[in-house]
Amino acid sequence: MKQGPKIKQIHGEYPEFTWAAILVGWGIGIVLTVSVAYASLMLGFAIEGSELAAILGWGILRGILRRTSIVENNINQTIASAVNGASSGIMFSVPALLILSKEEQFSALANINQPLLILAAGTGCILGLCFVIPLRKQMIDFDRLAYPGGIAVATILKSPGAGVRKALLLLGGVAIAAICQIIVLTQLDSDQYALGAQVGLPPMLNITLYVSIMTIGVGYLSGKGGFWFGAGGFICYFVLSPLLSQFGAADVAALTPDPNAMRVNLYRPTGIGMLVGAAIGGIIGALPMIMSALNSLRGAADRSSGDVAVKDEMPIQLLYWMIGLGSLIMICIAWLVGGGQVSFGHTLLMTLLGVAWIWIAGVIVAECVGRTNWSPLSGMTLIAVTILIFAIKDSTDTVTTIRVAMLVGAAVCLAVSQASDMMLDLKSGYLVGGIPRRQQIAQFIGTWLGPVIVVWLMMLLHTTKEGGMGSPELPAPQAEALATTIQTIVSGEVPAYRYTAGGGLGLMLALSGLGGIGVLVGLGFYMPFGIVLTYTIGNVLRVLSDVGLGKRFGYEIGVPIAAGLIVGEALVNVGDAVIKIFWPAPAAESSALLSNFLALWV
Amino acid sequence: MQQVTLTICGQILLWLGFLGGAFASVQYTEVAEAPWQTIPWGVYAGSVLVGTAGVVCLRREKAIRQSLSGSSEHGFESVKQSLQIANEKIGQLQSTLSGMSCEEVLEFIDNECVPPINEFADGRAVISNRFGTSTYAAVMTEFASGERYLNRAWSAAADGYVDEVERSVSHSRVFFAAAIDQLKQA
Repeated sequence: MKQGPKIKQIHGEYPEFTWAAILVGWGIGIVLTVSVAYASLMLGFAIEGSELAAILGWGILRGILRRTSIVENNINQTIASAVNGASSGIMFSVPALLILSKEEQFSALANINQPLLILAAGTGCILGLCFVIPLRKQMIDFDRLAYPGGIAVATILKSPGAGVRKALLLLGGVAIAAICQIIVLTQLDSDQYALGAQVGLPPMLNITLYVSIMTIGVGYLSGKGGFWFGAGGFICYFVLSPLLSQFGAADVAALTPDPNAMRVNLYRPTGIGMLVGAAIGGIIGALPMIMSALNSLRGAADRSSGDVAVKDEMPIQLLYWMIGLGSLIMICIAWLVGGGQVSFGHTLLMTLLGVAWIWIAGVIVAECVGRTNWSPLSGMTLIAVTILIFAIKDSTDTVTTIRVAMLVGAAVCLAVSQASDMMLDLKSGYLVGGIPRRQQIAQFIGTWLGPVIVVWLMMLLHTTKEGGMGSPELPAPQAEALATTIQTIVSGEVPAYRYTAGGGLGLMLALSGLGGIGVLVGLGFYMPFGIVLTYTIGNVLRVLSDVGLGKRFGYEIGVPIAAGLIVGEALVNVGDAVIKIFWPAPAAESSALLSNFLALWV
Repeated sequence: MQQVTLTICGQILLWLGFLGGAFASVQYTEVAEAPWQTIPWGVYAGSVLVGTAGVVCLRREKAIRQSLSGSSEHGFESVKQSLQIANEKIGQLQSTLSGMSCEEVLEFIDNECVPPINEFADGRAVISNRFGTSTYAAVMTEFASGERYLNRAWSAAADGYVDEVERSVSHSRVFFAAAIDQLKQA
């Protein structure tokens, strides 16, 4: 090849899976994990680390280490986000034990066996990965799901070679989103804009926009494929709520003017059931495709491209062995944590149900993230904990039930979180031409580290902060909610009837043959309508741009801008979380700090 | 005509059944003393039955559509042609690579190779309609590997790794040729 005007030619191996990528990935992963885990405890939300890891990796690998490889940075972000995957998985679940232990009858829950917890969490991560890796072919190669977050990461990774125009579009998107988000954080009282109330529409219609330009970007990247997600929300608030206000029971009719109460009490549990039913229906419907994907993985050596195809994929038999071994380890851990209080039969039943749930929830979350970028992780964890508690509830005392179920539940939560992160990273890997096997190994290399850091950090904060977990110093809002839910589950007050009804509806939609509709409509029931509405704006913009300006405009101009919108808002949210943690008391000061930053930027 | 009737009936029945079932699912707040009686299961079951009738109509219509689209030469030929054009373009890239700079490779991939690949991807459903899932899986396995290696060639060109560009373009060509073979064998 001849030398061009700008790009300097390099001969030799293309760096991909290198020590630099591993070490930088671990380094960025540790920093991200500590920050995000702490933010999860203080604020109640987690931050997806892939985009940030790609940008930081870009700066460190290219800027400082002078390394120039897109696929090497892809391995770096895969490892960093794998480490960070433990943040939300553990911080949203395990602190619930510490919060519950403040009540006298649950005080024994404070004695957490940390090595076993780390082992369980690590095993959960590995099980989640082993279950989801074989689905790569079906979801990315065959179904070509969008994975908007994966597109955003790939756009960042490719920006050095994408030319000035695309880089400017990406940066333009970042700037627009950053400015908008700073305005939202500093100038608006809330990120919800009650448009319906402004124009005098009935409150039951719930026309409240989630003011997030990132959400518009996500909707744009999902395109018309995300339409049914919006439809789910519209069915709830434009069809069911008006019908219920007229023909529903009196107490439900009285509830309709309060959309949040409607969602929490009625639509959300039905939506969770629909997600599960749709996933089961989806698995049944996609079984021939899944079998073809597995056969293709098994028969890689027989393909005309033989050697290359074999080297691209992890051996499927190895994954089967790891699932078997992981399941055995989980059984042993549950048995040990039960301390002989739970019979072996019940331990076995509970663990096998937990492992089976990892597969089903992994499919649900991977598909939801692939089609919409949203993961119903909390709903999946809730169902996992419910199943696990019910599996052993009658065989032992309440404290042991909660302790064992929460440990296995945390493992399930981590598994599901890792599964969605893996699929997202594999999508960005596909777009930059990464080798799947190397990325999968990179995920395994990163995944064990997260639980070690997060468990250590959690116990450190619990013992050093005044009042420990659940105190004003360390509010842990998500874990607080889970602790309340666990008490409800233990007392038997679970809306299982609504899950069941939703499950039947989800199954019916999934079997209709309209691709992915059950999961999307279920997710529309589950998510706040504000997010659904804003997301739908993105869908509509993509359809309009495809029809009016052509599909090429979408790929060339729309996608980099939309990816920039995701990155820009994510970065400002990270900055905001840092400010809130280090300057927590006077909200006005942090607001002023952001305002000054905005003024400086403008 | 039969197709249109089945689609309309299927959609109406499916959504009537779904809405009826969803309404029944959220019609009442929890009956404290007997939670499972919260849902009027008779109404719910009736609605699901109506929805299932819709599912049957839609699946019947899909089967007819698949057999028609499978036998329609136009859609299939257009998809097959996109794949062939993509393969030819990659072949052209491979044969002229020695005289190209990395910047020219990037431009060639973006402007010449990506459009037919996107066209094939957009119309790929016709393959499963015509030949079933196992042929679809076999073709898409090769196609996706080919596209991924072309993406890798793009990344390598952007970074200046010329040996990797040549290797990846060559791999991509092998996979695209294999995808065409799979279609021919079907």
